[in-house]
Amino acid sequence: MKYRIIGKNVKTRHEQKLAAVKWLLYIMCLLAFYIVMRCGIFGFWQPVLLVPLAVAAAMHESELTSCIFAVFCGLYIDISYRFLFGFSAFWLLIVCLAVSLLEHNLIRINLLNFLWTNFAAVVLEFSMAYLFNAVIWDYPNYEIILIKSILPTMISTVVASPLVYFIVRAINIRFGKATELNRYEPAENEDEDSEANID
Amino acid sequence: MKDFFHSLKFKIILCLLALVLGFMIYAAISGGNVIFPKSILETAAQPFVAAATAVSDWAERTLDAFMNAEKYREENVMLREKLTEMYSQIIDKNKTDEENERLREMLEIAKENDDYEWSAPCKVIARNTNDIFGGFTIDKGSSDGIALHDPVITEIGLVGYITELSPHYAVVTTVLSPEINIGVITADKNVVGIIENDILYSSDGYCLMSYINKDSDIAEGDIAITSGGTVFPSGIFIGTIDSVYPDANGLTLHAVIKPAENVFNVTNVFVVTDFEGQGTG
Repeated sequence: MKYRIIGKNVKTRHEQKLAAVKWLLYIMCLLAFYIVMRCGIFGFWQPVLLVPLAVAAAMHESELTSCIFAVFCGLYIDISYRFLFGFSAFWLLIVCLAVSLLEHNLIRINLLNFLWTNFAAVVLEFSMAYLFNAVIWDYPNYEIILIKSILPTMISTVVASPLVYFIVRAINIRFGKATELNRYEPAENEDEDSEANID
Repeated sequence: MKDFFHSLKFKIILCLLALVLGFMIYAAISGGNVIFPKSILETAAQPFVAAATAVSDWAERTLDAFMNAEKYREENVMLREKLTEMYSQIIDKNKTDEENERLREMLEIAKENDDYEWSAPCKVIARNTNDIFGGFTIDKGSSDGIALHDPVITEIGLVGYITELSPHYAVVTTVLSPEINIGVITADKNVVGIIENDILYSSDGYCLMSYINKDSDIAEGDIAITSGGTVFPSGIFIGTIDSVYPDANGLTLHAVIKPAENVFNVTNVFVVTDFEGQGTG
């Protein structure tokens, strides 16, 4: 039986395929949630599902990959909201790094932990958005933006976030990290895998 | 965790953070032109968004027609009466009559008017998420002759102007935005003022006209049109005066304008790409 070893992890070709499918599904989720945001079908109660998606991915993935994914989620939020390009990506990157570090060192992956980390992410993201896009410009009656747009968005995002968690969880159960059993499954094409790579 | 902060991973993440900060600075100094990385991301998603927007607009219209049929019937009757009343009011006033004619036949006038140059009809392909001012994206950009700050209108009236531009799409800031300033004149009484929106009104779909002479006889129902300038040409219908109230200091008046076009429902617009006096001064 032959194996391909990448980095410190042993990865069979089958696992590499699973990982590719998983990231493809993540990207499809990103696109789908972005499209939902741009359609405006929920009016001012439009949930920004890219925030829980980034947080849920951060809980399940490594620090670096979750940060890269968070940047893409943040950039699409910026495009959708017409924020300064990179604004949401900046905050989401910091939040997702923190979430990923917490998950790897202090907390376990479960719905409760997801809910409070997601809530923190939503509060940080939208409070910064409110501060930098309304408060500092000092438009007359700018607090109406908070009441009519920011708060409904935050509420709908938090309410809809368990759905995102279960989608990401389902993707990870099916295509996620290999167990010790399947980690050592033989590579599908033994001829191609005859050379083991050890980094 | 201590090891992580000394690892290569952490250094790469710091580089990523610096890259995002770089994007922000680049976007801030680009002055409304869409930067390259943003253009790539948005262009990649644009076909899906456009298709989904078309489907959701259709579904919304269909559902709306079913659910609010009775309301629209009543509204239609009321509007017909109001229209008849308005026609009778303006029929004796040549200037307003001409304006009304212009509004009803804007497209035809456009072809005859050498002063204006128009873009091809633009389709609304996406809406800014949760934007209480109704901003949206259209499917034409600089490669179609559109420039930053070009006025955006429909056959009914003024919608806004271009504030962000890429070769293949453009972002429209609407007349409800507090960022916009428009010189306004009423069609029949020639009362002048400036639209400087207050979120209190614009969040409900109204514009606020300020700096009106306190002795002017502006009144509810008056027609507000653009007075002309370097950004907006003169004579574009904005809406009708809904109410008038004095400023806190008592020196001027404010008028609340109900825009003729509902910016939240527009699906097709035109961009005035050139007119006499544009961008001068």
